[in-house]
Amino acid sequence: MLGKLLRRELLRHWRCRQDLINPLIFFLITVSLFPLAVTPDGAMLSRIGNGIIWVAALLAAMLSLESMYRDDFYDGTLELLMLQSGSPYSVVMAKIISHWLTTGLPLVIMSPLLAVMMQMEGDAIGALMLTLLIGTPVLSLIGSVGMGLTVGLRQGGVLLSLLVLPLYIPILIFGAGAVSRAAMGMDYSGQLAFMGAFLLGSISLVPFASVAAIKVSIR
Amino acid sequence: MSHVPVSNLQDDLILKVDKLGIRRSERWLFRELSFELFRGDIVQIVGHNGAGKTSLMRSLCGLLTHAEGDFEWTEINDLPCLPLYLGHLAAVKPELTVFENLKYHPIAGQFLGDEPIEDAIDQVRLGNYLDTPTRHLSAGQTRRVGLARLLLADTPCWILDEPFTSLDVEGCKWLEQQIEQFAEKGGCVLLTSHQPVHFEKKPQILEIKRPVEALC
Repeated sequence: MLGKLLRRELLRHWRCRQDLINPLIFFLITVSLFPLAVTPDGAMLSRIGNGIIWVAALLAAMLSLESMYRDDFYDGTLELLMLQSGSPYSVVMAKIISHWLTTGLPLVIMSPLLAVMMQMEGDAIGALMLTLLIGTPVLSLIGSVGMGLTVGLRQGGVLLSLLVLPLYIPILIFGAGAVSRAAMGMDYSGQLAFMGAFLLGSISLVPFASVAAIKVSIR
Repeated sequence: MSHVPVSNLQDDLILKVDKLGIRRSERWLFRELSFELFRGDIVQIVGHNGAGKTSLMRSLCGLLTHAEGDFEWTEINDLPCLPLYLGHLAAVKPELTVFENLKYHPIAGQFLGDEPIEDAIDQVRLGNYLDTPTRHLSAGQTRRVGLARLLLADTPCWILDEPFTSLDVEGCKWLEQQIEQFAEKGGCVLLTSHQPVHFEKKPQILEIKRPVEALC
């Protein structure tokens, strides 16, 4: 069941590839504008680079949340999927996994390139990729609840950011914190453990919250 | 080629609705609605615009919570029967092809194999459009893609909300035939339609009336 649903989502995303490129371009442009606007000085960039890349990744992920349920909601597919699949949780999980595969994972893969541009060191780059790898699924998971709640609203964009951003902040703090500790040559396993806990917690709770949120929206 | 509904049913009762009431915030759409659906029944829900026909259907499918009363679907293999609901919207993805739309969409709780899907597409006369993205199809053709699900669903009950919208004369006739055949094979159909429908046996009429008291 989950496999077929996931294939459907990925096929759909593949057919509108241009929508997928948007968040990645946003990520690339935001980060690459900082050296131009702030300073091209290497020491300075390597100090603020981790924060900039994390913030840009977070905003890029949030920018792409709309694609998760909106189209399906307006052509009636979402209600039929929830109803006819017999297990709405698989529908939600398929949506979240495909969202991560199409936005979170490309962000992780692109991040070393940008990290080199921000003159970050080897250790910090490793930590950046690792934290993004754990952190971006959490962004997709939490985003799915927010998107489920706002999908029925005409102008849900602002409300979505208000709902979701406060929940994103702990991930941002721990993620960026871990990278800056790594840059200073310190141990960052504590931060990673917290992020892992966030990930597991949201995997176990989000499907229920998302299904409930969507049920409120589609009635 | 419509599937004969699952055989191991103990009795003919598919759905029992007991004093159902639905309200939209403070306003009752209807109250105390009771009826039963048996195998072979074709029931047409009538009522003026805004009477709550769609709300009733969505509530029976579990998309909408009801304020009072209860309903019960018969159990098949210890699970409540899952009706096939087709609503106002066609639920067809424009970027997927006709074939993919049916292949990667669960129908009454399961995914189907290639052959039945190709057969169903032939039956709704879209055989030449198998690999065409549905955004290139007309409104009526898109509707047919949605209706192909009827031929594939393994369920004893269809719930159809305005299924005749944007179908041509031939298409309407085809759908009427399908509904009759399905009822003959022991399925039951709950439908709404503002167009006149022509069945050999007159469908039962279920009228939805607004309760007398304006506020609860």
